Amino acid sequence: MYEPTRLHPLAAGLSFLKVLKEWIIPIIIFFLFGPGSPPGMAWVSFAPFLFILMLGGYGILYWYRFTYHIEGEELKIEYGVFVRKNRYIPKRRIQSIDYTQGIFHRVFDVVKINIETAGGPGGAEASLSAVSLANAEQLKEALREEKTKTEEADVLVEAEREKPAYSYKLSLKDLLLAASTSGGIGVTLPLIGTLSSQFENFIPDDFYVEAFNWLSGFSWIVIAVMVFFSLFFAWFISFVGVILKYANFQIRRFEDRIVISRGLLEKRELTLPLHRIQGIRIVESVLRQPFGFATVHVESAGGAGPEMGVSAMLFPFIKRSKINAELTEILPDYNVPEKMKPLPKRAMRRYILRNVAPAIFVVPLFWVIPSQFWFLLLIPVPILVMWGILDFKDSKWLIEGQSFYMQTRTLSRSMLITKKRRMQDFEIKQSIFQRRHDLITLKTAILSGGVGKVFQLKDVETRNSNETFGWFSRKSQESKIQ
Amino acid sequence: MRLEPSNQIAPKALTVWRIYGAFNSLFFILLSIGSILLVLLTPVPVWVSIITILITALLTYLFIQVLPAIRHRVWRYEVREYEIELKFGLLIIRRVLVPMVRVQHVDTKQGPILRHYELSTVTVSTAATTHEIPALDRETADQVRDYISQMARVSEEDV
Repeated sequence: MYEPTRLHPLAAGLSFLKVLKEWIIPIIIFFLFGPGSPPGMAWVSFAPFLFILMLGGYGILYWYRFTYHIEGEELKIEYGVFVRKNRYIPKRRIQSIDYTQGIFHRVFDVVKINIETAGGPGGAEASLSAVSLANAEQLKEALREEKTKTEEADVLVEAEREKPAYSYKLSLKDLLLAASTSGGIGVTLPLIGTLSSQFENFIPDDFYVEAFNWLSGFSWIVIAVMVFFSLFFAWFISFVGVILKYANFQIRRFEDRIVISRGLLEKRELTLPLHRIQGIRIVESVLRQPFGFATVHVESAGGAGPEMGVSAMLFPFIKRSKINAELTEILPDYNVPEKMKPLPKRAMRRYILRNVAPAIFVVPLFWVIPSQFWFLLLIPVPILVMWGILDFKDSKWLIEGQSFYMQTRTLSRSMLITKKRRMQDFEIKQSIFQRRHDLITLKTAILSGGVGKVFQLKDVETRNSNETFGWFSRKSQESKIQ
Repeated sequence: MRLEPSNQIAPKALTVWRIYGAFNSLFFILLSIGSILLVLLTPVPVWVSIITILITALLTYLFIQVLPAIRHRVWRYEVREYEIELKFGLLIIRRVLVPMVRVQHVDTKQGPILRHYELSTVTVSTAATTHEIPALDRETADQVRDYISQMARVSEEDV
């Protein structure tokens, strides 16, 4: 730990595979369409093997040159084959340390460690691709800012003894429910589409004609069944995806940090220091809301690790009514309010209008579709109106003590819970149309994974705005004290 | 009712914005010239050119005369001990509060036009957002920058 240490030898294999992956296509092409072997130059056909050997050598050299150790208050990493590089990361700057375990990692019982500092959204600051579990635990302990400088051995023992103050596991039932309502269909369908379009190259041209003739021989019922099955297939893929990702989901809360671990094939562990947490987001998707289930995300300043940009899941699937009970255990500062302030009635019209406006794009279809079907084009309108009303009803906000709450809906309903001291700025906006109705827009930004995330709520009563602005202003706070 | 932020930006900013406006309308002026050529050289009807010229005239008037004036009239800022307040906008009036504790760094910058008029833009960055005071005369800008940077340093809350 305090001596320069090499990574687990698996690292050599991994870096070899990584380079090989980049070269695999040229190599295959060489094999398939290579120059053959001109007379007297049989060795040419061995060139790819030589090349692969070289890549392997590089992998080993890379592993050999890569060392890490802790010296004083810094983690020092020295690496590089042709260009020697040294990277020093001060312990105090480390925001999060997270573990990932791929399939290969699990075979050798090693982990990949990503070390994150506040330095912008550039991915992990340092990444140790394969460290044995024992070394990893040791490193993690050594990197955490020590409060008491005791003997190294003592620290270790203590770390093992440290029991989480609270832990939460995702039950199998919840996991299955979460997976089946994940709504990943929307994501997997295009994926299947792309995959199948790749096959196109291997399919003879007249296949389509034949297939079409074959298809048109069936009744529409058969076609409907086929559509149903492809939808089902897409759903199933997303189902399996969620299971793999969120199986073994567990949160542990320690005194100063939360540790989230999850994954079946690939294990991930994410450590979030409590003081870095910027806010909570509760998202109820269309599929889950009717059953009263929600997802809780946590926004953290930096240190979302491999999930940069995507905020970490705190509860992947939880009954909305139970969120408060769990939050008091895990993040006592945050809670879901009983009741929030709605928008004034007169804002509803604007919400409906905003939702219906995109319908204008179907207008050109009037010229395209047969005239007796024109009424079909009107179908979206009542749906959009309903959506606008829903949108309006779900748009709420509240200020209570130091907490700021804001709920909005796009497709899913989502609620932001944050603290005054976490809000990077606060803005009220008023367009000339809003001014006519005495309405304003509230807007704020919080830090999430190294970048800003903006939240806004349209058409709030103007009267409230001054109150809100005053709440956020440090000036008014000060004058209250005087 | 809260008081509005009190400081206006430099009067010369108006001139600068008019110049920017002139640059913006240049595109439309070129478009009108093109339309005139089109009418002269091809059988395109005259009204195409007339409409283009009318629109260009209107936009040029807006860009150079009206919009900079409105923008300048609206723009207000105030740098207080614990926060910065901005108010600006054309169709949408925006009021922004940036707490000093959230300020990560503050810059001043000048483009060639701003430099000619001895103006500077002050940019205030938080960890998540960036805000601008678009045109202050250089001394004020430097003062504002120094003050903010000093205040931002004093108060160190955790992010």
